[in-house]
Amino acid sequence: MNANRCKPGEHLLSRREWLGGVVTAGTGVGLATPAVAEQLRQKDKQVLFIWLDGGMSQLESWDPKPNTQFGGPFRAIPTSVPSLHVSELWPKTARLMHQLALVRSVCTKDNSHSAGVARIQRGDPKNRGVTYPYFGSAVAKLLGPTESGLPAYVWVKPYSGGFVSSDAGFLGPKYGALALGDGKPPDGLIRPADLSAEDDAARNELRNLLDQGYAARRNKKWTEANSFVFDMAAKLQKHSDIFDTSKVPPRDAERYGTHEFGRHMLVARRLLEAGVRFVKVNSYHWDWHEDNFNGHKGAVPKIDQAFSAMIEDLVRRGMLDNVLVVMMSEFGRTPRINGSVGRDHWPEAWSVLMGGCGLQRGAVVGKTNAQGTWVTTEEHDIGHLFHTWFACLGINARKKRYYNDRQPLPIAHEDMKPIQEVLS
Amino acid sequence: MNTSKKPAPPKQLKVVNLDRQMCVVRFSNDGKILAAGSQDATVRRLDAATADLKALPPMTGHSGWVSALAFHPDGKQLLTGDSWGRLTCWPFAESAPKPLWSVAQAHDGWLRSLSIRADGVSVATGGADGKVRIWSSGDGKKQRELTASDGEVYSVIYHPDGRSLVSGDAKAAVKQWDVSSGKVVRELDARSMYAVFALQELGGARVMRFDAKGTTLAVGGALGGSKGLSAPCITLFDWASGKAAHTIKLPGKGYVYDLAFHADGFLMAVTNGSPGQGMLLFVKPGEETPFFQKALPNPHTLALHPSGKRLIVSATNSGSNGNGRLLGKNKEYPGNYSPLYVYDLPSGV
Repeated sequence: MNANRCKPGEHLLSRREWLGGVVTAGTGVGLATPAVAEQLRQKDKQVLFIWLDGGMSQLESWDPKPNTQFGGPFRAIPTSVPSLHVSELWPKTARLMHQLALVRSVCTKDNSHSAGVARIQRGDPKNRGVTYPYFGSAVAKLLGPTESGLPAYVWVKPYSGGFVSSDAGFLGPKYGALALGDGKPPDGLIRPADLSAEDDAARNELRNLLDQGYAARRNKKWTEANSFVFDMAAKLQKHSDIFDTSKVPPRDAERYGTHEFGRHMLVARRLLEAGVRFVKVNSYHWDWHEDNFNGHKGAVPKIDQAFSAMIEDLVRRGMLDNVLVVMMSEFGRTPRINGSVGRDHWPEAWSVLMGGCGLQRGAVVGKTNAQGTWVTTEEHDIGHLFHTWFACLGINARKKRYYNDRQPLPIAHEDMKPIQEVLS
Repeated sequence: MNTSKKPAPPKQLKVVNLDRQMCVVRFSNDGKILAAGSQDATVRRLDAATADLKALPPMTGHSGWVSALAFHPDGKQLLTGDSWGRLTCWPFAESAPKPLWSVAQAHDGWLRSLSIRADGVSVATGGADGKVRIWSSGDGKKQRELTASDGEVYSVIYHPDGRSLVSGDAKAAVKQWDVSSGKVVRELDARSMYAVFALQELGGARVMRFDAKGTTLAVGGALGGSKGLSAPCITLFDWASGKAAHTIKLPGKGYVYDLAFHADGFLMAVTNGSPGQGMLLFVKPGEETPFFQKALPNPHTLALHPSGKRLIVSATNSGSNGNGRLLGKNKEYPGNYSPLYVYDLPSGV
């Protein structure tokens, strides 16, 4: 059964990897006011990166081929973009396609989860003998935190949380992801009622002294990361209202859905409103080798509900101009329907939905053939997408370089370029 | 039900390959035609009297997948339903059948199941819109609409007495309806066939069958667990009490995809698990272990000949799965197809 297929390593993260000794100070402040949101819109570009782990089917989403050999049982429905149809499983998103941009010509290389998840999220650059950062870590490095000072890369995910330094690759652990297990705050984030602010400050001072001794005996990258985590926690404490579900209007909870993904997307919205630079939201178990159609039928409406609510909110708040939204997996699924009424892994011709922040609204780029087996227009690899996303964020990936000590490294595949047709 | 006979194992006669995958196969009442609902939106007709199941011209006009079909008791009509919600009535025995009537939007979305009342007056359908609808089989006029589920209706079946109708949904809610009033009479507890895991909703009352006398209702699906589904299963309900008399946990993985009661009192089932995996199983109600089981590559549906002496199982070609760019001999991208396994069912001894 599909439920047992996906066993990503990060599921094993212990809550002890959270900011274990984090102490608390200060008081929470409210969410972004309209004035703050306007300031963010003008000055700070942000990213919402939605990762459907396991591989969502392009045929049951953005590139349906109804009534063809591999089209499956579902219908296609019209969208708010004239002549553009998507799968009937996405009625709410269909009404918002004029706010979004779709690339239907994605052709990547890896057809296994183990290689695909990492290579896609790292942009699959040429091998330079280093481990490249995931997109979130890359943005954290290249743009840093917004003026809010909040952690630059926050990952809202099912299961456990922690600080996931591995995402950062050669950039060093401080550019890793602060992972919020089940969208919940780190243990100990909220200062206990019986701990006064003064005592808390004294504890922090003591910790800083101890840290200095610790740092003198260890690699700088790791001690920096250690301090960074505590600094991050302190900043997050000031926005602890993000996690206060009692402050969520019931109408919002209803719109996003009370299921796991809906709750996590609502946390993501609050993180974006508060000024987090890069928010990743994960959903697992999209590896439908078996019972693909019932599987998508059951899960997609939840994604459709929360995703469309998010886009509506970003538009309503004027934030979509500054927030780059990407929803994708590590690959698509085979056109061929296997005997288990499932679809297998297919990197050859799939789709990525994105929007906002410099992307042309309502754009549809690329085509596949009538059966959905191959891309018939220019193929776009993940490198093209990284160039495009960096361009949206105001970063020229043809010129900008990372430095690994003194070694200059391109931030995206140097043989590729942005997809100009999708840029506004 | 005759439970005195000891069923003999089936004998495989041959395998006939079709060019596409089939969702459902059924014999006509006289056993002369095998009808198959295909994933290519056609209704296939095969001459069951010929050794190689000679193909007759297919019937076209559906969309998506032809996922449900049933022969009318008059022996002249075939009713078919598709995944875009269309319901069609065909004079299937004609050389080039044209629909007698057709309802384009019998359901908003996937028409999952249909059942014709024993007297042939009406046909019930269940679909993705959570509705059960009852249609006149004579002209396709809607007679009644029942809101059966807040999700999808996976299966519907008339009781042999024609007074009751049963619906089973994606959450394995099984409801008995009084046909004349349109009211729910009772719910049968099959919820063990449903599981929620992360965003997934798994299981459901996939298939339902009554025995000939209507004393037992068999519901096929899979047993739910904390991490999804654990095993294919059949729950047998005593119709008089509405209680689950027995749940048979079947070997292997996946779901029970199709079921049939044999007149000799045993159940035939096909299960479909991981790619390449699946089984044909014969099991007697009340027994824990199938008395016959044979591994087959991903069977989806079975058809029992009215004589009770022939069985056809529609399965899947071997090597139907695989990641990435797997091409055929001529570098073409291959589709899959359904081999039909033809069995003789020797009489009991």
